[in-house]
Amino acid sequence: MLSLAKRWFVLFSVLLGLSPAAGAHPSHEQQLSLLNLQIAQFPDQQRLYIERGIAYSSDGELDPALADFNRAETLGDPLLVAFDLGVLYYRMGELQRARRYFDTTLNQLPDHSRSLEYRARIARDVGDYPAAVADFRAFFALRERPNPGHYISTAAMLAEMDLEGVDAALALLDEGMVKLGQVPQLQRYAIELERWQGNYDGAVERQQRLVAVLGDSPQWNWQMGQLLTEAGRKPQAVKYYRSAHQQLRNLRRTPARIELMQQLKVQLKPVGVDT
Amino acid sequence: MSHRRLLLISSLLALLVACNGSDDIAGCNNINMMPERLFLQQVSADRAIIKWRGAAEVVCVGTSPDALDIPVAATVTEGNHWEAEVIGLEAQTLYYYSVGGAASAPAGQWFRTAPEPGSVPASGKVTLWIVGDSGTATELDSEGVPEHPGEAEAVMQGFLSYQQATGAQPLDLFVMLGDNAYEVGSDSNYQGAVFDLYAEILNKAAVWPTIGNHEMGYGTLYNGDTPVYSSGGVSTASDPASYSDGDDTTVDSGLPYLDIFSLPTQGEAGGVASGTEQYYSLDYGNVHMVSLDSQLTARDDTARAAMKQWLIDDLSSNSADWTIVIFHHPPYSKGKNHDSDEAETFLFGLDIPQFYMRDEFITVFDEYGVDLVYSGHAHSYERSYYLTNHTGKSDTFDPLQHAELNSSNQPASGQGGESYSQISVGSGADDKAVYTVAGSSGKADAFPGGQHAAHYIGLAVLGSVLVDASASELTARFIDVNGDVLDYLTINR
Repeated sequence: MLSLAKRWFVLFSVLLGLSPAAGAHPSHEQQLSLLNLQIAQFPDQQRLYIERGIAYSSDGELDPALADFNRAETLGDPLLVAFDLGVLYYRMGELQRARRYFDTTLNQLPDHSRSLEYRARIARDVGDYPAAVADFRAFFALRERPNPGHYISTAAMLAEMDLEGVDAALALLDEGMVKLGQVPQLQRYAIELERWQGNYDGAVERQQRLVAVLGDSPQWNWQMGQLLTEAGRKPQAVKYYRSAHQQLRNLRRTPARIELMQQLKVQLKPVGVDT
Repeated sequence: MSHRRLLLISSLLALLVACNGSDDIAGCNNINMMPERLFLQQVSADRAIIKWRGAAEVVCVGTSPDALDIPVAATVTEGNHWEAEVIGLEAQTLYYYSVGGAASAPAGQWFRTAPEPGSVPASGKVTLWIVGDSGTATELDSEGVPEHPGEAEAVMQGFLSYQQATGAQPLDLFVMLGDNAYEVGSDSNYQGAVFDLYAEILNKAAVWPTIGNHEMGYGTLYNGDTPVYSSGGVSTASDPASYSDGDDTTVDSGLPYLDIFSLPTQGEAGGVASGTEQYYSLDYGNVHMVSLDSQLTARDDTARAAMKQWLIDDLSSNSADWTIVIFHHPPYSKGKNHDSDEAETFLFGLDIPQFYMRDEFITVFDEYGVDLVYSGHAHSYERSYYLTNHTGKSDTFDPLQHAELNSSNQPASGQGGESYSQISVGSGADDKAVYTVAGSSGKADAFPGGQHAAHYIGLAVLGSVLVDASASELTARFIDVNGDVLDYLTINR
């Protein structure tokens, strides 16, 4: 009787028009057969148990995988098994056990970025934001070009922690922009944080920095006008609204530009600008 | 900058380097060296990157094939590549080059810089060749036998035949829609499926790719906590460092795609800086193109939201005549194993990016004037009507609400008298786009469930897409392996 996992495996192999034997990689059965032979020949080789454990884990046979990893721990340096055990427990949903294994890896290999990422995600998922932030920070330090979204995610955690967290979130976003360049995704979130804490002049200054990457577009001019209005600098805002209005008159009509034009008219009509 | 001034500055720089005891790039008087791979990146109006793997450490560039006179030293970059950034070029100019520093360029080794931003080339149009899921030259079965021998090459020959028959101008941009190298997007897969196959394309036009599921190597699908299926092309990770080639005897050091390609992150080729090579944009003449990451970035909620925000900023700053977006996972498809109606549930989330792209990005394309969207993933050619605001499944498609109509109130075909207008007649705005699945450039699968309701045509035929964009008209053609045009559409502006 096939295990549930194997039934799923066979079912989807059929659906995809594949069978284990027809896959472009050696099938798991072939892989396991080979490893079984090798382990029979070399019963004390740690590496073979690790490989078979990975093969079992990938095939959904978690108990045999766990048995092999536990055996591997006794045959050599447990550190070599720790990451894979961490991943296995993470997949099983046993986050605290998984976290312990990533701790083991990182205690010996503090620059193991994959462990950092897993441990950061575990910490975030259980609501341990300080630990998650610490690990993400370490992760950023190891990566030349982390995805901009991860900076935003980490900044969001920082901002939620307490009032001082917003400053720390802004500092992290600025760090990210030093690393990644003046990318609008990070600066936009920074502008929102500045607005949230009432620092409208700070928001304006950040919007000003964006002109180098966004250009002097109608959208940028409109946003600058909005921020200046919030900062109590309405006369300055009107200049930007006028600029946006003039630009839009010469650009192809898209729904976004049509809507922007409507919004500009609302702002400009009261100050006597002919729209 | 004039050619003479460039020559003077380059020569002075070369002399300076020589006097500082650096490797000899004092002149173009070395021998030509054949690299293992050679390709162009980020060719713009005034700049180009020549990238290769091999022993050479310098290139020579010039406007005369037998008198190359601009030596440029290269630097080593990821994946053991050499990269030479050539700057100060003139727009719309043919440059020849040698790898190794010879004064003569090998036959057929040249590139043409882009026209000035906003203008069209001397030919009158920007030409893009688009392939999807073309990487089957390295797709082998368990016995090591090629599963689709010669099919990607046949597609390329079909395109070249068409070009020859129509006297078309050389290619400006070579676009790859993902799954560029089966089975796992490894460096060796890329060598066989891309660099060996497209050598005579890649040495003349910059390649602009996007990330497919097979770029992310080997993965495992889970039902809850239970792994149920492992293979190439099924990774659901959002982190490129999770790449695995499935071979436990090799050490994986990150996504090969990111090591191989040098893509803009700071707006170097036009467009808005993204900070990441996973998604980017470029301007080429009167065309703005955006490459989104539906494989990695789209799978993380925060990263996906950040990419969407960047896209809005990028499109808000765009004023090019034409806007084209590419990403791997099609929002509308009835292709085998990649039905977009089942994306949320199929194979425990493997294809959920199809849902995300439809649910969250379609409205951005509509709002900000995108004209064409190209995807791969399904191994078929499927071309939509001129659509707007269709974010639901195929059974929610209502031509009256979601498509440009002809005089009979039926969805217009985009051909002949039913050509599309960039500013839609009905709405008076640039609010519609054509969505095309062009994933049959390496293999073609039949449609098990029939054609998508929003599609004008669906073909289980090998082929590729050729887009020509002039100042007033854009035509996109699907060309089969015989060089025959099986479908086309025209948008006027």
